[in-house]
Amino acid sequence: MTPDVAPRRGRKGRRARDMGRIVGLVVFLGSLGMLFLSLLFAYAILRASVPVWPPAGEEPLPVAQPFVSTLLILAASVSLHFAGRAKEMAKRMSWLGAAAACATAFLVAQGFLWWTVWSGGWVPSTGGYHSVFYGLTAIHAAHVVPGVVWLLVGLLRTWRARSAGASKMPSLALVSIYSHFLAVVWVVMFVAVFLA
Amino acid sequence: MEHAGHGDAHGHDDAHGHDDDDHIHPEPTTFLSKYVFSVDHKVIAKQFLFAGLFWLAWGGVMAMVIRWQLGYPGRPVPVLGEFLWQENGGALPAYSYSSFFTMHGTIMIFFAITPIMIGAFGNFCIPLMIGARDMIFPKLNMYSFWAFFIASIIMMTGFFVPGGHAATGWTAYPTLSTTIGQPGHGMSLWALGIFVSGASTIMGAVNYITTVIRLRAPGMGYFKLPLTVWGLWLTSILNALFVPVIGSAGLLLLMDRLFGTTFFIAGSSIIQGQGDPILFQHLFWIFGHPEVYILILPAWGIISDLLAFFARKPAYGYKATVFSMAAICVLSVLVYGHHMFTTGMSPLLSQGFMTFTMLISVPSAILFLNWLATIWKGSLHFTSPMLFSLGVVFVFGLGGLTGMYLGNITTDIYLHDTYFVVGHFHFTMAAAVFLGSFASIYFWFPKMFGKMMITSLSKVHFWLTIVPLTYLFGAMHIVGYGGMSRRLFDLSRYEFLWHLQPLQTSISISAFLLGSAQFIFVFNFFYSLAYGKKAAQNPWAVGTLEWQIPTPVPHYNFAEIPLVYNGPHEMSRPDMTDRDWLAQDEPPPSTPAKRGEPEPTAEPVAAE
Repeated sequence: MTPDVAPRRGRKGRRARDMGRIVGLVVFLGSLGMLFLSLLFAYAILRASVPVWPPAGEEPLPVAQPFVSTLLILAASVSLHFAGRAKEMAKRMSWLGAAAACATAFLVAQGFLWWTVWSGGWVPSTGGYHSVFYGLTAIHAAHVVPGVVWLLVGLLRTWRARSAGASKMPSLALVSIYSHFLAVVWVVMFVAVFLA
Repeated sequence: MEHAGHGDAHGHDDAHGHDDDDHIHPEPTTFLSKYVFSVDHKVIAKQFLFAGLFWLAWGGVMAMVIRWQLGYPGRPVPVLGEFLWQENGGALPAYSYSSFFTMHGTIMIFFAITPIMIGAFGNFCIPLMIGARDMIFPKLNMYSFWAFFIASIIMMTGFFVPGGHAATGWTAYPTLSTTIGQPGHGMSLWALGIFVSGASTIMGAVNYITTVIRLRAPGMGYFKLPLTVWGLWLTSILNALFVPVIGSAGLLLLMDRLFGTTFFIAGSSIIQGQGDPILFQHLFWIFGHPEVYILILPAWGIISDLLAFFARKPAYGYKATVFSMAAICVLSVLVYGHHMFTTGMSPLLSQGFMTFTMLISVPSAILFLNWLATIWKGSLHFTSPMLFSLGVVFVFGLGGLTGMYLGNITTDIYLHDTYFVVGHFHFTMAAAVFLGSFASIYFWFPKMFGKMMITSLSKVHFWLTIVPLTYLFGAMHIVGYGGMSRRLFDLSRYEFLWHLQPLQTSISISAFLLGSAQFIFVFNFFYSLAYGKKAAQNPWAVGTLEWQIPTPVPHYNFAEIPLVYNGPHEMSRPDMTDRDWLAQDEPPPSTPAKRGEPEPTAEPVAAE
């Protein structure tokens, strides 16, 4: 009665499925990219409306601390790249673990950065300069959090595949694309908000 | 759980184009998985439809109250007044009036049109029309609906918090929308509701875009897609790219309201590095102008198909229609400044925005003339979907023409923020989409629910809708030209508007007629749902794929993935004598070899 509508299994089916997911993720990153672009646009408009930046009376943001954050998120990206290239599961797991650790350290560094600025008396309501700082970095960090969770899920799945003795490693394509994207966004943000 | 090597024994190695197994799911067995937390695009479509119709009715009642206040300023509101504004003698208080027009706009745009046109018909039509078994990410589709549901609850909660709901107009301009102008929680809930509903929209858009790219049946090239799918697909692209912009504006507004940032609060001196209220307008309209096309594009696509179906002719200039819609999408991004001519922007910028705005009339005119050419010398069947489609053409034409005055700086400065604007945008994106929704509901109801709606009632519904609707939005242009600003609470206070009061009252009466006529639809809808005549598989005798499968549609849609040979409107072919339509998955009786079209291959066009 019911026709055979089962999905095709095997290599070809899996490849088509993974391709579909990658297309979906790229479309979603288009959305996310527009979110960050409009935040940067907001920053540009605010900055263009005053003669000097940082505005008179506001203390420049620290540069060394966000530079450490930049190194950490880039380290996470590089580790993830090597995790994707690793041929053995043990090697992949250590690279994945390193990536998750670096990404977590990035979040901690950001928290420390907020704490430093905040405890210096520069709370969000002090003006547009610090609004931009808190707003943009917080929205970026809010997107890094699910990335860390995703990395840990990838780690767990690799570990389970290894304990089950599977020959095929779970794909890292999606989480890598997402993580590299957030790293690029951060580098742009670092240059635009802290250096420029 | 690997099934390596199992697949090829499955007998699925023939023409079945796509084997992405994300979108294939077993038949649901429990009540919850079948009707509530369903991953089936057809069920999710119905969920969106009912949610959208609920909000449409809610927003419609709000419109009636607004029209009551404008038609009969200060008089007690019948029925509702006794319950809601007892302390005010039943009359509408000023704050509630502001709150009502704000929420009328918000609800209609984000909670009625979006779920009906994009949520319901996007979900229902896309997989069925491209020959897929479901959306490519069915679970994401389910999350999209439930995110919308959560957004609905957040929006609804705003009506019951102390201080009332948002009352800034749907555009929510600061400084009014910051805590200075709106200290209550209603405004924060508004911003949060918009953000969550935006997340729902983006989930839907990612799904629709990817589904059309990856899951078209073999032979279904991009230029064989029904125009409905084109409209919905382009809408989804705009949604994916520009809903995040209002998302960022909403987030920044929430931060200003809850965490004390100053993105939109100018403060005492701009030199101090405070925020900029105009910034919000930029972000809002970078989203807001594409948004009006997001709302109208699905209706354009749908009626482009319906006009062809009921003129029994192929759509005139199919590719020109597609390219016009795409060109409008691109241009829609470059014109947002025409909403801000009076903010003191550089004249050079506003000239650019004006030029691009005027340019949009070129593809719009191509689109419009293609509709006319489609029905020209056609064998017109005035079914209810056809009547409503013709209604869309009519009101959209009127709305398009009045838009010329608003896109032009010199006339816009006079007409800005008057009822002329209100009349214009109601013609284009409210009336046209309203009629387009009914065209779609009347057209796909048989396939969605397996029942026919009552034809005579739907035609009465059409005439009782189109006449008051044209009058009331048309007359709004006149009162606007007469100098009436938007959002005025008590018209009896303005001497220069006194002579327009009879016209105002007639607009209101017209609106009440329009509102009452919708009860015919409500009755027809629910009566047909329960007692309607059983629908045949293809009651309209058209060739798109959704009508070639049984009604009700099985959960897997297509027992076998169809092989597509033809475009969507192969009507009245001279080489066919038995019937005047050819299904998309039927081989044509005489292959037009001279056109040199390659034979459809068994290989998927979309894969790899």
